[in-house]
Amino acid sequence: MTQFVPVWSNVPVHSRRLANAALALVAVGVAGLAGAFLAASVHWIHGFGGLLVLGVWAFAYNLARTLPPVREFDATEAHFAFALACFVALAALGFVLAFDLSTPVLPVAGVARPQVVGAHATLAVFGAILATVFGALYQLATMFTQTEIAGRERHLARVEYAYPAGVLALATGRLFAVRPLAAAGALAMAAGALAFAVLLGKKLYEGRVERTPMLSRYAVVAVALAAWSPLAAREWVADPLGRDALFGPTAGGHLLFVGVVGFVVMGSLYHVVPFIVWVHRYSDRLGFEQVPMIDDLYDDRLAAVDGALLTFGAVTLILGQTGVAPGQATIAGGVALAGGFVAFAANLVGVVYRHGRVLPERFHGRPENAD
Amino acid sequence: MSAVPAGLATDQQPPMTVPLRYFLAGFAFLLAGGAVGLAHVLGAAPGFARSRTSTCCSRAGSVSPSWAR
Repeated sequence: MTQFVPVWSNVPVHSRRLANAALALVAVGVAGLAGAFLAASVHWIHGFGGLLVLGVWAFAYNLARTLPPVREFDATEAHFAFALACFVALAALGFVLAFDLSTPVLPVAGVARPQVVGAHATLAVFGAILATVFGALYQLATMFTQTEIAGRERHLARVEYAYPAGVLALATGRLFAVRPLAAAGALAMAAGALAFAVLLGKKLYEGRVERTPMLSRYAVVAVALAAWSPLAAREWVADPLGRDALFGPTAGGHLLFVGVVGFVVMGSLYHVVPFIVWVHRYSDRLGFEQVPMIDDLYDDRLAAVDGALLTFGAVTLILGQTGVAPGQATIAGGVALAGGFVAFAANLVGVVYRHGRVLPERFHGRPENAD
Repeated sequence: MSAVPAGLATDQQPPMTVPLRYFLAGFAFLLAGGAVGLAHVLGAAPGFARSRTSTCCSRAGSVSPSWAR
């Protein structure tokens, strides 16, 4: 968001110093918190958790000040603003949870610990992460397919606004154990997610541009999201407060975390990493000499291989876990996923290595501009 | 191939340095999380990570550790 919001809204980030401070606080907080969890040391959990909360709040404040006034929000900015609000709330809930480990404060407030955990996790996964993903895709999916949301698709976009409202209702319902509220929120959320999946699929189908690794990964996202949302709705109507249904269908965790979140991140990185390297290395030379295009920086065949491995791995793993395919499918899927991820990482590291000039000058055999 | 970014304004660079630091920090945490997840699979993870019984990934574990039940 620190990069996306200034570029998209065409404003400078509110404070670079605050952005750096937030990063430092979050980095120290997360590392310390993980260490404290591993060491099972309650007191350090408080200390580092406090730093993490301060960091997250500093980040949210900085971005909130960077965003334009509320009245001028478009879909992307509205989703980001919602995600920032979720960040603020979930950090506070997280700190209360950490505090409760040593000093039981939740009984005083009249809520049980699993309720707070449920609300915290709902806000984190569906508020902070998935709302950010949707906001970014509203822009990326139209920009890179050279299409726009018009005509009847505006209705789909309006239905999608049920998503943030649903997240809010589900989190509140889970926090106070209000079953009908949670179920209604879950239904609204699933409907919004399904509308968004249809919208994304439609844009990708309409786009008459060359297939890039980014767009093919977004297509997987649309399919996974469309499959996940009805399954989640069915599960949540039955039991919206249940521990096993925290993120929708019990066996569908991989559908959400690999199929949706994982593929969005990997697809976007297939554009972001070559783009940053291209701007650093080649943008100044454009027009003066032959420079490669952004999509020439990575290896097309390796991208196709990793995409196929990851898709095959995810599908096999999910089928194995739901019991449709035999148990060995789970293992085969996991191995394919790991292999695909290694190929993906190798491809992008290769971009930085070959074009990014990260190595000192003496490791390059020939002088740069020799004709 | 497909996209040459049109209308490059070279006097105004998009913000790069701060986001790059975020990316690098995030990548380091991804690797560290992977390492802890691997340690968990091998049964070598200490502390609160040890008592987890779920079969899912380490990512879900970070938001729903089993001691919260």
